[in-house]
Amino acid sequence: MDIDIPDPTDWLQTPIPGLQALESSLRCQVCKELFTAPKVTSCGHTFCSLCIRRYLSTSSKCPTCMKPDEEPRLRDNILVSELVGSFNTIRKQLLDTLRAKEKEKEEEEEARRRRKAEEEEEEEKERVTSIQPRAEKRRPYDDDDDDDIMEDAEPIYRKGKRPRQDTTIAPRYPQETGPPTRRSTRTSSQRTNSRILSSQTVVILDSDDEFLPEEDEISDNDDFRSNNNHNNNNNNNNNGSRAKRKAISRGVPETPTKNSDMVACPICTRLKDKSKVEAHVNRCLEGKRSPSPTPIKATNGPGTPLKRQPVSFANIPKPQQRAPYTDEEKKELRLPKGNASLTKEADIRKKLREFGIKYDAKGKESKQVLWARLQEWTNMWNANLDSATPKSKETLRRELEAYERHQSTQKPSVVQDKGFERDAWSKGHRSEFEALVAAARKSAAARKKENGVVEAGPKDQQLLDSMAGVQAELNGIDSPEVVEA
Amino acid sequence: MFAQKRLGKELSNIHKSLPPGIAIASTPDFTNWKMDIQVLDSNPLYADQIYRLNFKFSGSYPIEAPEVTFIKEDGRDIPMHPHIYSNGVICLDLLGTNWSPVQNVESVCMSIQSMLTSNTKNERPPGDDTFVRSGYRSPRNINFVYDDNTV
Repeated sequence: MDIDIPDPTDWLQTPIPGLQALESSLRCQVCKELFTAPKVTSCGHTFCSLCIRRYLSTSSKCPTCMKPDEEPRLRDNILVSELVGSFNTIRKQLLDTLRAKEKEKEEEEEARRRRKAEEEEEEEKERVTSIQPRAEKRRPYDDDDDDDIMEDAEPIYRKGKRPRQDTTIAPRYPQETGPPTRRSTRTSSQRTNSRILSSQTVVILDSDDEFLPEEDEISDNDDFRSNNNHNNNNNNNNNGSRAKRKAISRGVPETPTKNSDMVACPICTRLKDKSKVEAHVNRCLEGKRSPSPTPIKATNGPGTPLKRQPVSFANIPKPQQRAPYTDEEKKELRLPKGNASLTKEADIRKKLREFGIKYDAKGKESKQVLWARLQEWTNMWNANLDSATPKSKETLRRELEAYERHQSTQKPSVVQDKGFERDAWSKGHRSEFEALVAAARKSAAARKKENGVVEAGPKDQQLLDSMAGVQAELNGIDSPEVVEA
Repeated sequence: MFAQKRLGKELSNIHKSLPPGIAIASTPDFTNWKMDIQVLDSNPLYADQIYRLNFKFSGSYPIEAPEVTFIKEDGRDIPMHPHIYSNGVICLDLLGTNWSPVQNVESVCMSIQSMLTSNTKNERPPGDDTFVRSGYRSPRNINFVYDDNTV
């Protein structure tokens, strides 16, 4: 296997083998690929759209847990498709980086081992000839190391250099009391400054609360309100939300400070009594209009108490006749699966013609074949609509043809499979069979002459077996080549 | 296409790691694989024996179950088991009605391995003689009745 097939086991050779589990859960259990247009079944398992559609059209159960399921119940799994998308974009990079790291580590290990061995060797030497000073001994070792670097490829060079630099520079910094520390103090002072600033702004925001009464007074003034409605609304907006926040924080909703306080609801901007605003806001948030008549409401609908329309079927608006699908919309429609036994062969042909799919015009193909083709097309079409990057109809058509060709040629040549056409086969190879039978008769007769009648049974059996072998061979030769994907 | 892609993935996977007692015998193409399996515990029926499984994949492989049989080859025999006929046909619901595309070659091997491991009966299925004589060569055309849940 020298072809590189992306596989979860790729991660086993990296420093983080746990990524294998992550990737295998991002792969479809049917096709073992990363999910394309993931669909979730009603039992919560996720598969590629095409995979699960194909499987559900052969048997209506979840491939993982065998619980019954149907195609219309499949739902998009948007989160998973996002996950797969983002994982796929980083996969190669991540793998390369991690592999390089692992390689680096291995090489480092190797270098360390070599160095250790050398050191031991040297110590050994030292022990033997313990006259020479150590400093001179060090040099050849360093040279050796450099030689290694020259021998090996680039990564080693980087790696050989970098750790040494790191070890020299990294510990030096904390000890130094020079520029680095000064810089750090400066930044910290800046930070504290900014913190003070921000806290000041916070204080200002808090002091905003103290302006509350003023705003209340403004809203109290009726004339002012009507004149400067715009401005007022804005103010009251803040006011109302603050009031709400306040009330929530206090947890005491029904403690009005001033009875005549009018506050605008932040949602519908209607003016409300401060004591009632919270309840109103809650209703507004729920999307309901306040059922109790309020001063503003009263002015809106003068003199008419809230009256509900009596519920009767006559009052329910008739559903509008849906406009026929436009061509654009038609392209987005999922195809229905249909029912094999209820669909007539002519209808299948008609549909195939509509979709522009080839079929035998002379009617040589059985209904079963046509139906299978239509089903596969339906699966492909629907799955294509699910995918984020849909293919063109023409591509799909080609894929369908390739798929079918592949299916028919891949049929195993053992004895007889489901679609084996015995008559066509025996007609097509009549001459070969006759020649074989003639040869068998001849040799059987010859043997009979030789041995008498004794062993006729087993011999015949043997001949038949050999014929079956020839037939199987022919089968193998005759089938067209396998279509490569 | 569909099947080949998936089998390619499985192949690269099993080349990297396989559970103990399971080995690849030969995988010449994407239609026929042979796997060697071995029972690891000290079951006296299968001790020190290696059996060969023959996988045949159709074009719609993970959707359709592979045909899995034991074969006699390279001195490998057919294991004694109340659900394995003497011509190598295995009666296992996993390979028939209970097939699911979530299964793969590795999991099938493991299932068969555990099926052998848990067996204590040194016998063939009832009606083995007539079944073998009837000459079925492909388990695809057989309608098994999966009646025995004990093994």
